Amino acid sequence: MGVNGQFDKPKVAVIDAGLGNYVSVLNMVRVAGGKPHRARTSSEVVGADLLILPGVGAFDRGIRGLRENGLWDSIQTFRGPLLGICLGMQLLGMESEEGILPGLEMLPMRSVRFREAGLTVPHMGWNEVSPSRSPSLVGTPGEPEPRYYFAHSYHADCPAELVTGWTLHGSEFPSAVAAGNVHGVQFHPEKSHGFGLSLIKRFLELA
Amino acid sequence: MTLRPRLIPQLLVKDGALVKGTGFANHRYLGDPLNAIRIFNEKEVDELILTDIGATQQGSGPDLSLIEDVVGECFMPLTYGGGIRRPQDAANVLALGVEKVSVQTACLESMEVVKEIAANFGSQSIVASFDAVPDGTGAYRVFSYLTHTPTPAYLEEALLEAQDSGAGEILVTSVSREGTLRGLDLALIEGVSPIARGPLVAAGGLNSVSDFHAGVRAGATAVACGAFVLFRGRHQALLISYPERSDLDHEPWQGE
Repeated sequence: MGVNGQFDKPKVAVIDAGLGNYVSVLNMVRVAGGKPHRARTSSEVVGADLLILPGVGAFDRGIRGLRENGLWDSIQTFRGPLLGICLGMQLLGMESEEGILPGLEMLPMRSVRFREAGLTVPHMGWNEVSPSRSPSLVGTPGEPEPRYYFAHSYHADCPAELVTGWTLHGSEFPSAVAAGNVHGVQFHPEKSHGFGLSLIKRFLELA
Repeated sequence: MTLRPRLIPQLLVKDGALVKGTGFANHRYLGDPLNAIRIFNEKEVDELILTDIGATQQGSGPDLSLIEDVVGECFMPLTYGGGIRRPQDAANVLALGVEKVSVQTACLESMEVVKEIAANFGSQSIVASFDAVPDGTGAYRVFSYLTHTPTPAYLEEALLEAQDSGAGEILVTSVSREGTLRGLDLALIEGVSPIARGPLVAAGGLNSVSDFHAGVRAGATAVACGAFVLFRGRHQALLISYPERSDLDHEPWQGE
């Protein structure tokens, strides 16, 4: 926000590393009142107020995509609020059962496959998220639980202190995490209608 | 289990226009797909399937410009099908912001394209789609949309092969019920649901919310529909309707 009542839209860099689905994120950020731009190189990340790392697909392919585009360091050293979405959230962790390469190591979590017998995998569809911390990007504890769209076969495994939202699929798993400025959501806010829009608005307010 | 069953409108397009069909024939012009999509987005529907029936028939790839316009209107998940023959087709479509690609005709020849798409983009990005017809013995065969005839392939085997190849979601459509509003083929759903490891989307004939609940009880994870939500009213106006969230969520489904 600017001074003198002037409203400066927060500049949001949305990473495009060939991992798909940055377009819908861009659209939602715009509707939420942000000023998004697509960031394919490290120079396009610099100067942004906020950073969003979307991602769809396999872990190692995601890691390679970030490295090959020279985005690795600019993500790790980004100072402002950062939001990883779906695979983007998993890439922020240490490693994943899905791949062999190390992650960005910005969050003390790893990703594991849904294993419970009889469980429908991928976890696909609308499911509720229980915010476990206040404030939380996900929503407010005590209020009706928001629903978001999930589409994944791997989920986070991390200390409870990191978790800002829990979701039930078989057992409870972390659907949202945060540590300092680094946030991650397993679901797709950009595909979750009004619920997602509210989350993105809360994210923009962090700047 | 709090994962909700989804009701997914399926839009058919041909040469960029929205069309309606009955039993895969006689496609009639309905209007501009973007108008319909805008309305579905306003109604906050669970998800949308966009199928380009011209793309497969004509052998052309996906209409990327149309898909891009559609993505721009939606803040809910999109599945796109039609003309996906090679992994590059899938890559092009997924890069536009579409959640999942659906492969049908290519599956009739081989599951290679399913394997490659799953390997590159993850299982959750690929839907294996089958049109099904009963063969009179209680079993179902896979129906070829392109030739309008049943193939010798058994639906169950094809479904298993698709899953083993990495398909994250399965879509099964009853050919005889499609476009008829005669109700879902519950026997078809009951037959395949035990072998589906991932989400199973049933389609063909949905005619009411209670029919939707019956489909879910029969084992469908989600139901796709066309005529139930999208139809031509008087004076050729395009009418779109979608049940209230409270009606869809109302009935307890399996697992609860």
